[in-house]
Amino acid sequence: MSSYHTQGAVPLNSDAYIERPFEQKVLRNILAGNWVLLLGPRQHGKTTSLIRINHQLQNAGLISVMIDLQAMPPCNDYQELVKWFVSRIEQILNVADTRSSLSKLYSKGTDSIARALGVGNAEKSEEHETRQLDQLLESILPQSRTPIVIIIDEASAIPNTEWRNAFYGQIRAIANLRAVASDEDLAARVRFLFAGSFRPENLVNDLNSPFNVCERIETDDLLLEDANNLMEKVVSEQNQAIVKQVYDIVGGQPYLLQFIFSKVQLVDEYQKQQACDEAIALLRSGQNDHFEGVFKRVFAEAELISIVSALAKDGRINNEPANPNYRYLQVLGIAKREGAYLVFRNQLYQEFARSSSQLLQELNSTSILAPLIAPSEDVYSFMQSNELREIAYSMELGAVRAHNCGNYRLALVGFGSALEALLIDWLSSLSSSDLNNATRLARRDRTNQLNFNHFEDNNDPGTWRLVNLIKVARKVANAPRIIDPPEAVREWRNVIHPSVARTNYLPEKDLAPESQAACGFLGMLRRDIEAII
Amino acid sequence: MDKIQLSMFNGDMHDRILKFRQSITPGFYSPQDIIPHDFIEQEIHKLMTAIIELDNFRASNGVNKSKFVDSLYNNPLIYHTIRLLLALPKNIGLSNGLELSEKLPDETTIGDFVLLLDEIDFWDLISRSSSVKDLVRVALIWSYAQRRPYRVLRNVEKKVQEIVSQSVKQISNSLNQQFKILAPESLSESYPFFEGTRSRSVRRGIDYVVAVEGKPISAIKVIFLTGIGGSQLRDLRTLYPDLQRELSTIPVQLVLIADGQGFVKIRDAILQDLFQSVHTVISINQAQKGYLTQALTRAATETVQRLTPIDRIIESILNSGNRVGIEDLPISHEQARIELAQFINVNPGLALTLAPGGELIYWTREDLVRRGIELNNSFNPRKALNLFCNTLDASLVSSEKSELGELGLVEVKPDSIIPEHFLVVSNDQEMNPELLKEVAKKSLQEVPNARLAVLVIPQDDSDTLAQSTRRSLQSVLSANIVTLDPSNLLDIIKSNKNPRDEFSSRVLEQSDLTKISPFVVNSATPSRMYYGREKEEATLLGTLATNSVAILGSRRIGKTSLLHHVTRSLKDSNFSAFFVDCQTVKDWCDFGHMAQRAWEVKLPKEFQPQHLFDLVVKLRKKSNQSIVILLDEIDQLLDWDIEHQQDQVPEAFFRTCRTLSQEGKAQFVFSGERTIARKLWDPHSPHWNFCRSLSLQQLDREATNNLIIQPLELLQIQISEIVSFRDIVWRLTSGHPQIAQYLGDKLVERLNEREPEDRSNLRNEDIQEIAETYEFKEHYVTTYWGQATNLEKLISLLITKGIGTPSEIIDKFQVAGLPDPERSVIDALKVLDLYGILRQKGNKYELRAEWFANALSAYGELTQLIERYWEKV
Repeated sequence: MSSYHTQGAVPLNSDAYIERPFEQKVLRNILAGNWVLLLGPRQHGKTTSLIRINHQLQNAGLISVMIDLQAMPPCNDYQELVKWFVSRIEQILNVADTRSSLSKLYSKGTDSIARALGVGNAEKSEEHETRQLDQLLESILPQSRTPIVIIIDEASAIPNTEWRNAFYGQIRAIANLRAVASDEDLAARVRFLFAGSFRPENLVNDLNSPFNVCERIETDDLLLEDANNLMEKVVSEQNQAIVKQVYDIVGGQPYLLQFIFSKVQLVDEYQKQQACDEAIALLRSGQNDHFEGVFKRVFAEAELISIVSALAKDGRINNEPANPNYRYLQVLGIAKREGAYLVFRNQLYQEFARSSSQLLQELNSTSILAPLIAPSEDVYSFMQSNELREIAYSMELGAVRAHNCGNYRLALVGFGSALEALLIDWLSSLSSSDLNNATRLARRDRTNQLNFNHFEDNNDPGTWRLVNLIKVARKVANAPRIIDPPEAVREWRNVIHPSVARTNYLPEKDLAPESQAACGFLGMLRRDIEAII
Repeated sequence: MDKIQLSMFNGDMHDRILKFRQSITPGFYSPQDIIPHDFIEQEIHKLMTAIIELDNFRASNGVNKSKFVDSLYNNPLIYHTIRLLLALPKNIGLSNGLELSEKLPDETTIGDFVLLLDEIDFWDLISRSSSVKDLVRVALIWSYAQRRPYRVLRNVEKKVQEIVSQSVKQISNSLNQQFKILAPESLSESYPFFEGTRSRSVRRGIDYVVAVEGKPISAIKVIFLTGIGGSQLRDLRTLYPDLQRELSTIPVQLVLIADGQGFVKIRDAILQDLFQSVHTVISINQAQKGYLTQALTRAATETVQRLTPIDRIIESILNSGNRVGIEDLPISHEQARIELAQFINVNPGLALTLAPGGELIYWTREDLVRRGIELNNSFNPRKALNLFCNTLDASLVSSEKSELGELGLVEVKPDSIIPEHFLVVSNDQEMNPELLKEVAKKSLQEVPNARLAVLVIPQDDSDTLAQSTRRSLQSVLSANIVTLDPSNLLDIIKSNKNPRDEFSSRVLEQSDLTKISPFVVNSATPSRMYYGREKEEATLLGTLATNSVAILGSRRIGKTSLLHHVTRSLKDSNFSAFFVDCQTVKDWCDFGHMAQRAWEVKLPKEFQPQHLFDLVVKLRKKSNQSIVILLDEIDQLLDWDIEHQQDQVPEAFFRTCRTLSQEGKAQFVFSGERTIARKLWDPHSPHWNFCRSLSLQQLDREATNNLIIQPLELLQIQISEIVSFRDIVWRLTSGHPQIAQYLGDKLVERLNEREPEDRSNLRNEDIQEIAETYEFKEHYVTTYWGQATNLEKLISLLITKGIGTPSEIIDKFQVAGLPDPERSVIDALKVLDLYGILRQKGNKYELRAEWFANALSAYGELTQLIERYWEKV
């Protein structure tokens, strides 16, 4: 008997796999020589399918490599990214022959590869003039006439905008050569398959985007019949009532189906219904990072929040022609088209959105207990310091997870710390005259006077306590909007001290509103600082 | 005979087939065929006692089992009624051993049957309905549904019988001779030699024999096809032509009365063969209109006299690969010459040659036929490879023997279906999926870009690998693998058609059409798909002698294709043309790198606008001709040029271009969208007057039709009702080349989903159904509106709604409080005109993209859309 796979891709030999119609479309297009952009929600079976597509392409005799950009190690600069990318391809192809010019380039050091690619920042060397990505790829790829497929999974995973534009711009340059390429040229041989869950029109500069020349294919949900097969394949028996119940709630979302079925699989027949109900209840509680994965991109864009809020309120909204936001909600897996309308992809998402204070922007008895969603790391991209950016994001992420588990005190600490990291980063980026002015004004404020202790350095906000960061932030002049960090969050953060937590004591379970509010205040501050930077 | 009758055998084959297709009956079902009330009421009447008893049982509080068993034995109709309600087939076996047949279970199993009814909640089921009678009524409709096609077929047969009787009566009167309908068996009674012929089964299928004065003159066969599959196709290709040949030996003319929607889908080539090899092929409508009478008249009046066994002898000699001379026939030489000539006459589909003097006939491709026969008797991979090459007049570029068999790389003159080079593999294995995969792999290694490879094997038996499996396999192979066996090769060789056309038909039947779709949806159009634009090209070439040109147009309108084409034309006209795509050029340095690489000139590392002068000098050194530099997609470079200065000069790059142009050192062709358009429209940018703007909009009607229809025709796809098909294409695209290519691609995809036999014909419904899909509508709207602002979208919606003059639109925006409405609206109208959405007619604007409102219907009511965009603006 096989088992369900709720973490990572379904292995090639697993029974718990249902063939998806989009795979054939992708395969057919690649075999016809087209480039393909495969878009679909997270945990929707893209990687699982890509593994199979890669396998089938190799079986069909093509040279096919699959690169997961999420596996990219931290890079200090674009050169490192490029080096990693080409060496991954070379490694997969296992080119024993070290004749390639890449090897020669390695011997010159890492910079030479980037120079060869013509992507270095300041230095534009001789190689810049003559060598581009296509030439470099040509030098590492087998010297035959066989078509080459490069599958790039998680294509949005390059964090730096400039690097991303450079990388995809060079791939686009290969596409531009296709119309005039001769059969032996790399441009005629290579076919790219990009996959991920992103907005192709925003990911890279639209004019330089290789996605414009791709056949766009979107993943599809499983059908009820597929869900029945999935249950039968692994559990070795039909249980149509359970499958129907699950399908009515989660639709054809492959991960959610596998998640619930995996719980059902583990128990005896007479307990299956109970196991199913418990799994659904667990999902409804938000204690599964699936929702975070699906909804976090929404919280990164005000317009998306507004559309999903309207969807949550009205149950359906008019689909809008040629509006990428509406299409993106379908790519994210949140919504689907029903006639001229958009509706939620499944009942569970609808319930989730309807109970979310972040979406409805109001607190009520239901939304207080509703799970929170952490935004994607992109929302902190405006911060100057890489470390503080990572700290702020991780703190918020931890806070959201703590909140969703009912650990509201820990959540308050996390939200407060994220807010502190934001303020340090922003104030550190000010010119010394602006900072001195703000400090001076804060000192003169008699109602809320700034007082540094002997550990705090006047010129280094990184040494300041949160209370002082807030006081100075309020006095920064020349900003298009007033920055008013909420004092309450600082106070709530102090529950990290048991003695403070005991003063005006409230039991953990009663702190949900404060935790919800702290999350909202943090979002407001982040929005305001980003707007003035 | 009236005019209709006279026209039957007039006109060319194409007309005859067209008339036949047009006369095919759309459908034979009548409302009575859906629910036959008489039948249902009769059946209910028969079952009434059982219905009443079942009603009583269900009304009782719990079914008394022993009483129920007694009732079953007393009234077997109860069991019959239950079977009807459960839609049980004649016999059904259950996993516990219980068998339910039409017969009531005996005493040993009746208990199990009663328990089964409980287990499947039968009583609960019938209790939920208002009455058992209602349930029985529905069940009877279902049971009748299975017989419905047979009933319809019987109706068709009845109708044809009436038509045949009517025709025979009519012809008897008009010719004053006694025509009679005889039983089909009469043929073998009168002509015993006919009994032994190989198409006995077909002969038994003859429906009517018509005789005059006791002598058979015509055999009538009725064929009714609702769909088309492999066996039906084989019948049309071989059985009926064989039957006609055999009947000709009597001589009797075969009349096929052929009808049903299956015939609509059959490719013209197959119908042509059928029409050539069978005396008469007509539809039921045609038969009714007098065509049958006309066919029978011809059969009775034509003075074709055939000596019966002679054809057998000729066929036999020819099929052994030999020549047939008059000495070979056991008749007088004079008569033998006539026989040979007549043999060719009645076999127009065969490639036969009558020697001068008429004393000899032989296969036109005699040597190939002999080799084909030899191959059929004893398969040899090497010989098969050579025979294939010789049949197609292909050169064998290289060949080798491998584990896969004999491999040959062949070269032929390419067309849309057959590539210039492709791999042919010949081996003596049986067909299997692994073999196809291996051939595809090998093809990929040897000829990576070929979408076709051929596998020649001893026997391509469709039973060994189902057609459906073969088709789904093709979609995951890197090339379409077309399989042939010696008999297929022989058919191609013996055919009177060009072997290449015959082979192409087989390629299309077996291929995954998406692999050979000529339509290009996501990249620049290659020259083979370049249609129209003659006017624009003439304007461009005429201007370049003295001025530069800026081609303005929306995305996907064909700017790059035009530039590629013009580059070639300029080179032909003794210009030095240098093209570069600036889509990835973000700044001057990028331009320098791109130019250096594309044009192989050495340029400074930090390219600056003044280096353009050096560039032109270096390009001129390459040839002494006038220089034209074509820069595609320059909006991004222009943005950079506007934002950056050189020596405090804004737009230094394009100002340098201007100087070069005005000094006559080089002319430029730029293409772009918004940024360049705004520059050219901007009265504050007079330095752009060195460029003449050329708006590129939709193709004209003829070019649009050619762009879709010619590639389809090259794929041997017939288009029924071509005139209205063209109208629909025009309405759906308004000449937008990308939408046209998208539509063409969808048509090929649609054909590809059909059975191979059904792929050769497109009808208006096909294109209309594609247009009704959300995907097409979305593609249409996104293509036109993809780069439009909310204001531009709103204005195009208002014009769709009929608000047409700029002043009306400005008024609306003034009322809504839009700042500077006049300028905003005028600018937006210009852009919408550039995008090909609108056009100005007098003082009004109207939709150029005439299907726009239909496409928007996928997004709800137009009025609501307008309201939503008002909110956004």
